[in-house]
Amino acid sequence: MQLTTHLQDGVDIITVDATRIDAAVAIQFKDRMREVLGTDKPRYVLDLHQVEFIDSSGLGAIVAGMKLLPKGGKLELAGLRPAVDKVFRMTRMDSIFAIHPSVEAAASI
Amino acid sequence: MQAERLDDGAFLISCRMDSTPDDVQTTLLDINDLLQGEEIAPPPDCTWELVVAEVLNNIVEHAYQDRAGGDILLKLRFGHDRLTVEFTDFGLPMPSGAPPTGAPANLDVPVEDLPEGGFGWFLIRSLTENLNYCHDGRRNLLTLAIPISPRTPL
Repeated sequence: MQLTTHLQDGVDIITVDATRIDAAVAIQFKDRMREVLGTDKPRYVLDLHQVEFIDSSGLGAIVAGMKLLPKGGKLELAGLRPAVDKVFRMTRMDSIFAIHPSVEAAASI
Repeated sequence: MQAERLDDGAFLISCRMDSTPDDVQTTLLDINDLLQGEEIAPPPDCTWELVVAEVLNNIVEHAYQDRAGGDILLKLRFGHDRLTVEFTDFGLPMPSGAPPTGAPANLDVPVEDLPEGGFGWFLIRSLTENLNYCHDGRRNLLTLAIPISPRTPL
């Protein structure tokens, strides 16, 4: 489970370089998020365009990632594939996370 | 892992895995590989893998209490309009003798209190039909069906 970070138009982007966020990698994902999230930045965009599959453990790990941010900090999502988008919609987690069609769209806001 | 094509066109996969998240992941990847190129493979937007993953994760976490060394048997029958799945394990029975009702999580809470789990049975129940569970004193047997929308002809 590899996360890479870069700045795009002044926005911090975290890209998940993996095709799955599932129970087998959920703890790793949380650990990596802890490493890449600073405590002073108010907004991050998690780029999920490579992720083809997520289960409820993966969903929980992304929620846990958001909780690592300081109060008022935002973790937004971009590039959700249909199977991933469906999990967020079904669990109504799409009401908690701002979801952007792509990193470009997220960075232009 | 064994795969067999039946006379009626259904595709049958049976396998055994160890009670670890890694083995669950490997099994799901192997099943996806087997389905590659099969005419009966569900369309990409089908949620079969999510349902099967959630049930298997629950077996690892609850029936086997996150301990490796437990056997999980999985049988999948991919038919034209439905996938039927049978899960067998030899771990602890469901606490109330039945699978959880799977109520949706309450999200109307401050961020720090948002749930990080408890979505599994909600997803399973939302996406399946004919869910049956029994414990026969030795093993848990769970069966369910997942409707598959027919593939649009090319």
